[in-house]
Amino acid sequence: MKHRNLALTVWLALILLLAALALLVGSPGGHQDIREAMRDAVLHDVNRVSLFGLLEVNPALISAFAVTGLLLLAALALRLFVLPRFRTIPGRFQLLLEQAVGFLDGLARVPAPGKGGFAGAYLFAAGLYIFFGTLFELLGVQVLATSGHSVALPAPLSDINAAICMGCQSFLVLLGGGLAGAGFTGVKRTLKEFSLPISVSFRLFGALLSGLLVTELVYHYLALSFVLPVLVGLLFTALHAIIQTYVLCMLVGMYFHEVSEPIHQDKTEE
Amino acid sequence: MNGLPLNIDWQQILLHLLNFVLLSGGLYFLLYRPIQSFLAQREQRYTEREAESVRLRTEAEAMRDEYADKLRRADAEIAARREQIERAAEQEAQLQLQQAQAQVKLILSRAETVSESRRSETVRDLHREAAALAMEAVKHLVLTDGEQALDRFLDAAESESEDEH
Repeated sequence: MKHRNLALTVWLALILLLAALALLVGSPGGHQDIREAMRDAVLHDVNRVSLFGLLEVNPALISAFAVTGLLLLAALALRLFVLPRFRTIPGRFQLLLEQAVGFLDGLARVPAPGKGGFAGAYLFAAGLYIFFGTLFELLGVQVLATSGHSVALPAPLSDINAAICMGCQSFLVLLGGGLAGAGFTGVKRTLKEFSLPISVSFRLFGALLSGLLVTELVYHYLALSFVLPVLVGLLFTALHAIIQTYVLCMLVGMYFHEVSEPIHQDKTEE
Repeated sequence: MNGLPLNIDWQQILLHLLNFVLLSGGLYFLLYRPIQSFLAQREQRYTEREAESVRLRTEAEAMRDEYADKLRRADAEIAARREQIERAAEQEAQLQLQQAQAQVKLILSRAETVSESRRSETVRDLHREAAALAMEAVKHLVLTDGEQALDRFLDAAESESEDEH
């Protein structure tokens, strides 16, 4: 009991000492202005990162490649070590994987038999990408920008280019689903939803960028860097990861269901 | 910085697309397809088990109905046999009763015949004995007392006949 009290006292004293030192020492010169940092978080026109020395890209693209690499490594490990041990009555982890596949596949389930598999696979990949890509921001992996600043890798979809890519590829998946499910009528139905790629793109971009900006703002001031980032990180990252994954998958699944509905059902409804 | 707003860069969009194609292909082959395949196999297994259990239940119900039908038929057969046996037993008893009654009648008629013949024989014997006694008495009277004896005899005979009446 006495030892524990002593350890607790030392720990608290250390925290107070470090906080005081951090406030007293201050930051070195050349510090980036908050307006410049936030503008750069949106436009990525200052802090760009070299991609294998070939071209300068936004940090979010590096994040995207990193997330892909991590996800593929995890998938390979699961394929080699977990999937062969799947049992008829699942354990907790097996149930989690089965639910993830079943849920995302269920969102893309269409009335036309055998036509939902492609959308299910797409939603599975997109869902994992958005979820883990958003959570990746929490790691705060630092890279050196070409400008000389150290940049924390953001969520891939906080970059407008990644969000546009996600919106366009979702639209292409819908187009393919419409063509496969209802032929030319399906294509026409998909083209009617021409605003989808724009809305999906900017919804993702706006949602994730807002979280990024608030986090950037909080981290920029030393006084706000205690305790608050935990709350902010949870609010704007973990919740975003869940909500944005669900929203995109549900929207794409719903549109996919709509455009790939067989033609005879349309006539019946009419 | 190119001319598009918000620093939209087609090259980076294509790189993001390349990245996503790589990711979706990898995830499809490494996770999605094997898990889907496992789920489909398990579902098929459960479907087969359900079909098998339905088939077995149907068979069991058919067997139960068949045995119930057999039991009903056996009960009916037992009841018919019992009725038949009871009827036969009743007929047999009736027959035996009739035979016994016939035997009784026969025995009674034989007994009556025998008794009648014995009575007739006894009566004859008595008549014969009475005649012999009468002859004996007559001889005795005739040989010993003459007329008086005959009168006493006749008086005695007359009084006897009156007593009898």
